Amino acid sequence: MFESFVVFVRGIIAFGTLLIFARLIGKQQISQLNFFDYIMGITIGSIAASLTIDLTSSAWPHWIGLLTWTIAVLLLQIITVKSRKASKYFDGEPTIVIMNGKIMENVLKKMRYRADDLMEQLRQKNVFDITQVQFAILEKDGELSVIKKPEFENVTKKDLHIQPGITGIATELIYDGIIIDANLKQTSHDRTWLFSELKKLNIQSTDEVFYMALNPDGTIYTDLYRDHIDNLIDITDPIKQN
Amino acid sequence: MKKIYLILPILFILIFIFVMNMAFFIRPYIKSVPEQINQIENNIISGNWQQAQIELELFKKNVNNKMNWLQVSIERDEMDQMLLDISKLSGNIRINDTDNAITSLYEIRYNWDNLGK
Repeated sequence: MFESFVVFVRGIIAFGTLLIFARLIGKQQISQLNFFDYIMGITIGSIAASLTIDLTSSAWPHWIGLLTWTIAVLLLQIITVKSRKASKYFDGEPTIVIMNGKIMENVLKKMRYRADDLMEQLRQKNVFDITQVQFAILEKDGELSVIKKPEFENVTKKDLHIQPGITGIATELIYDGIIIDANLKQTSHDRTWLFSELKKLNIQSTDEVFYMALNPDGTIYTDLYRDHIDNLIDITDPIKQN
Repeated sequence: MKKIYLILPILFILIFIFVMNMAFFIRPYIKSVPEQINQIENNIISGNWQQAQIELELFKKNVNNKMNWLQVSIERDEMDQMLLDISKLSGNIRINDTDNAITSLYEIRYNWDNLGK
């Protein structure tokens, strides 16, 4: 038996299958990674590893294991989307850990969640003084959501009665020297307009442009291959020379 | 274009399933191996040891060839057992041991019939 060859073929099968099954499971796995999702991820990965290198058993049973877990995950997703009760049961619920500035000790105890953990997660939310917190909610995925007391909230443009500027998403017009015609059409412009804009910026050819985008306020962002920066800042550690 | 995105993964999955079960799908169509086993058996029973030896050498080549194709879809132990039994058969034919040769031959037949199941 050419073991290396068999492992290679089985590796491709495992990789391809994981790729397809991961697309089937969707984005939920990464964005809302709760404890059970985490375990599922490890289990599916472990089965894929066995499928690749465990030559003492054929690949098929491992693949069936992979399929079973994927179907189980999909079923669980469908059930939790359709039924709120099932969602609460399987995924848990967000829990208030600070209410009106008071720590809910009993809740922490019930969840086996330490005050240290709470402080750490508050710090990660840039809250270093617990007296600023009105509400803190521990989400299903373990993230902490914090509502500060009104006196500690940041001033917004609305508070200052300032008219906000136009916001939106910039549209790419040139990437890597290539004009994206579909985006140009989307912004109701054409190549003639683009070339005139390039001329205004003293750019002779699109080949000079690495990235060009049209901002929602009508301004243009351009980055050329030649950035004309004389003194490049080096943030890497210099090699110590003796 | 959208159809390709749908068809392509299904196609890959089907290919993967076929490769993983190649022994199961292909083995019934490989008639040469059971035929050679029968020929070796007949030669052993009739005491034609020299012919049995020649048939065995051809059988070894054939099995090795088929194993190259089927190795991805079978267990390593299944393959090792089959090759071990062929070695035993080889020794038994060499010393003209009918009882053990037939036993080895039946083990080989059993292993072949259950390959990839």
